[in-house]
Amino acid sequence: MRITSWLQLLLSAPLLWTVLQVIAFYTYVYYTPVAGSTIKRWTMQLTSAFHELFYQVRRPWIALSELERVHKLNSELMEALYLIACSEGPVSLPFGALGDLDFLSSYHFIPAEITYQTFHFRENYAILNKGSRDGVAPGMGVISDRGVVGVIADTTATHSVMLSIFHKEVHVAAYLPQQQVLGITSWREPTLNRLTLEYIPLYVPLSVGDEVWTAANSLIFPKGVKIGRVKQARMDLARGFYNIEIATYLDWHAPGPLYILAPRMPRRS
Amino acid sequence: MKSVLKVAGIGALLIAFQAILAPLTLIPSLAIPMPYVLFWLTLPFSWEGRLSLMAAFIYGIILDIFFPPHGLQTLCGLWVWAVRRLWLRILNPQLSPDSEKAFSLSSLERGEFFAYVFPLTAWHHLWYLFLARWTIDGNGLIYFTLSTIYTFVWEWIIFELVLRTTNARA
Repeated sequence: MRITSWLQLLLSAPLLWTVLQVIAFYTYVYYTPVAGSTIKRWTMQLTSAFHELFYQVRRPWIALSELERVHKLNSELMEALYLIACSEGPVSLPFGALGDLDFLSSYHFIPAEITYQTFHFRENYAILNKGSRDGVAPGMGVISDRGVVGVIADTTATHSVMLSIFHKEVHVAAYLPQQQVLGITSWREPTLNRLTLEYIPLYVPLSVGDEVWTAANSLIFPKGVKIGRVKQARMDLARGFYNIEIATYLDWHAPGPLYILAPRMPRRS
Repeated sequence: MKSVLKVAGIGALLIAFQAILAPLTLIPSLAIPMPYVLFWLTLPFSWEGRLSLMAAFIYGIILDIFFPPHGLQTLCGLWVWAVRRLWLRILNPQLSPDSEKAFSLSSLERGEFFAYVFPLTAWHHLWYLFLARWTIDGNGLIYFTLSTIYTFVWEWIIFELVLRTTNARA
């Protein structure tokens, strides 16, 4: 009896009309690329405006936390300076995200901040407060002061969508600088701040703590941007490769200030 | 059964018009005739709501199969189907439920036909042309206005030649 009444409700003319309209609208959007892209663009603009509003509201708190971070960094730098002054031998200085400084001449850095980001999905992304008006274009890499963060997927005039390295379809060409071996990162399992490095052959000598940088054959990142360190390596004898777990330098819950890597145009002679 | 056949016949006629005559009679960049809107207006109010709705939907789907943009004819047609009863009640506030069920497009006078059909055709075209172009600009409004008038002219011709004649025979 109850099922019958539910069925009657489902088949009532207004509800049926709504369902049929949804089917017709979906068909229309599916077969009409202009409509699909326009709706996507509107949705993105609306989402950006919505998050921009929240970002403006949250700005004082962001500024306070940034101030706290700067104070902390300042104290660390003061400490490092003190250690340099006190040391007798060579002192290793942190170079942040950059393992190899050769590429600095061919890129410029566009500073950006996150106005919105997701944490719980298999396809994590963030909206950045810089867009095509600032020179950002899809396909550009994004780094923080710690290492690789993600890839720009789409832009509006004022905002851009960045796919995180913690996105199931984002893979970065990587290499082990100590061993000079190429591999590919992927986020196969939804683990916090962990990536998998694949296609490293079993004959390569590995040890926990080895650094992982971006490789020269990456189409997005220049060679030598830090990704993370080897946390654990398991042998996959069936495939003849290691399954390497990397602990990323990036903390997705606190990515900090970001920099978009914009390639410099070659100068005309 | 007779009313079902009559409605199906009108539907077939309007689809045939749209397939054969519409490409010949359209005025490029100015107006396109779409008298197939008449079908959604000829569906009898005496039919049960879901049956009438399914007939409207199936007719839209058939149009969508033959004419792009696919899905848009159904979408706009269902809007016309949804609004027509409301519009009829606005035009005839004193209309009793029995009279409403007995309402037939073919029994209308010319003035009544204009008052009932023209705004609903405009309502259809407003949805259709906006969604087909995805912009509202001067050219679009001119195209909308001329297409509505031109479509209504063809609807009137079909009404005079077919609908009123069938009614007279009945």
